[in-house]
Amino acid sequence: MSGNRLLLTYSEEPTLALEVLAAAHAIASKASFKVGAITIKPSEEWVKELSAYGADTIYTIEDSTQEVKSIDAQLDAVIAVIEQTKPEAVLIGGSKRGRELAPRLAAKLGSGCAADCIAFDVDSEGRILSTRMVYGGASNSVLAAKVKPFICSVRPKTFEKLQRDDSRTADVVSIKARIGEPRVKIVDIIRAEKGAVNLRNSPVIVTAGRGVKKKEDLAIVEELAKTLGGVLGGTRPLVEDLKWLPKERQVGLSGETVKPNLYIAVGVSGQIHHIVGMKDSRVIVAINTDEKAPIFQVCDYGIVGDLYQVVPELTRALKTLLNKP
Amino acid sequence: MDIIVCFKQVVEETEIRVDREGGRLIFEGVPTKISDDDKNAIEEAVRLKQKHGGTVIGLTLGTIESRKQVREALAMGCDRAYLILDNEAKGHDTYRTAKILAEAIKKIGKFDLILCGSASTDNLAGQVGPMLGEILGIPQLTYVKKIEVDGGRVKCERSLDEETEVCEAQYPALITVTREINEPKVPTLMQVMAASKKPLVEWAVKDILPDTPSTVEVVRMEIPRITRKRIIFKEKPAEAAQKLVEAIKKEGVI
Repeated sequence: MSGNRLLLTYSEEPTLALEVLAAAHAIASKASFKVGAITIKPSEEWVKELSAYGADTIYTIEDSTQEVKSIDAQLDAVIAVIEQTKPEAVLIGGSKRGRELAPRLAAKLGSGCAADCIAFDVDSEGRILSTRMVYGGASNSVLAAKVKPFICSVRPKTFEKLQRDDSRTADVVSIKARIGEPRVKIVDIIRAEKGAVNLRNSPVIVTAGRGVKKKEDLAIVEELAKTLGGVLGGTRPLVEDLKWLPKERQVGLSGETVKPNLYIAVGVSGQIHHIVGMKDSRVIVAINTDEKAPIFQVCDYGIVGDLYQVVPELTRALKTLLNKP
Repeated sequence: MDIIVCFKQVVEETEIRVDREGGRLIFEGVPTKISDDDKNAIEEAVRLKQKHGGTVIGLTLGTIESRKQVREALAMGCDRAYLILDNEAKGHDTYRTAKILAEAIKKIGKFDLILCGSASTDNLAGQVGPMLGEILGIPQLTYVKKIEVDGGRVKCERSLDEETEVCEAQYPALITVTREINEPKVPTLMQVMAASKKPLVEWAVKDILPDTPSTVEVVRMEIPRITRKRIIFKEKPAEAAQKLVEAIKKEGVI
């Protein structure tokens, strides 16, 4: 058995499909597994991509007349491959669609399911273990399936796709699937307007928290960000509750996960939900009036003081140093 | 329009403290609440009822302590509620939860819509809704930020990663909602008082589904380790700012 155990991967989104292949290889590096990729009506180029990025076998669903974005259709396709290949685990890209698909698969099969996984391992008994965050990231939970296949959705932007290797040649297997008429009909898809900011690409992020008393006062914090050539971010209360800043600027578990060179938290108490989104930054700075605020536990440098005094002083000192007007 | 709305009692995750040295979470004194998205689900169910008539039934799986949240759901506008008492803390076992809810829903009877939050604020799995829809074999629309009901069909806007999907389905259907869908109203004193007179039915989990399947097991919990320099300046603002600038310059990040 052990030589032939199979891990299936699937995502309707190309970037995520390659990340999920990398996640499967994280498991395959610990024990002997074959890695399969499921794809619906792929182009020839896409089959080559999947092969170059780690698929040993590619299962193609050719006879789908349905829109690939329909989860009802994806469910039928993935179930067909599972039934014919009997995998140990099925890793699904954790896009919102994937986060619906994975539990539906598990419910249909009556098997174990873990959502939004950030790490994988294999224990001494050969069981696949998946790690996921709970309690807003305060703790990680390591899960194993009691009923297989273990269905796991993989948190996006967590696994780096493998190095491209064009010498790899995957077997291609065509699978017949009976794909029914989707019961949920997609009427329209509206691409979100790309916000002007991209937190994840910024080398410096200065984030405002509840310590900022009025929306207008965000200007003080943004001035500091601009001086450093960075961008302004916000915590969940500022974005979701007060709506002072758009969603694309939110740092934290339900917002963006960022790793800038320099992260400055201004008036941020340091709730776990927030820390999860910025803990891998290279240097973390905190400014807060409350010496006991949890943010000071996770920072490299901190200033205990009123942000309304400290931030303008900091901006001034930086301008002098960087020779900016 | 008859709506069943499922909600969960959770701990206030923003008040959980981490004992990093001891490698554990501190739950003592942490209050409980209705999970954030579930509150939006209750609010939306009540709004749909106001527009289209019908009833709103609250449903939860919890403990005796969950009565407080059930009363809150009734105060928010549910007409009646069902609390399935379950003393085994198996919140991680979403399939088990979905199976129990599905059986309870069959017992409650006819419905047009089931509303759920898209994910609970403690476990964040977002699995119970989709599993419940699948077990009941009804169409489902997840991560919904807008619902319109029109002649036997629901039309929804789904809030996906970088797009909004407009989709529709015939009901009975299951919908999971996000926090964007509405702003839950705080019940008035009158509503709170009226809630205590509304019917609350309690069932034991064994009477719903005696042999509840478990499909996953928690092998262990881990507290992520964070090690940082933690150099804190407590000087006057100008002086502290100067010291900080020097420190981050040395780090080579400016």
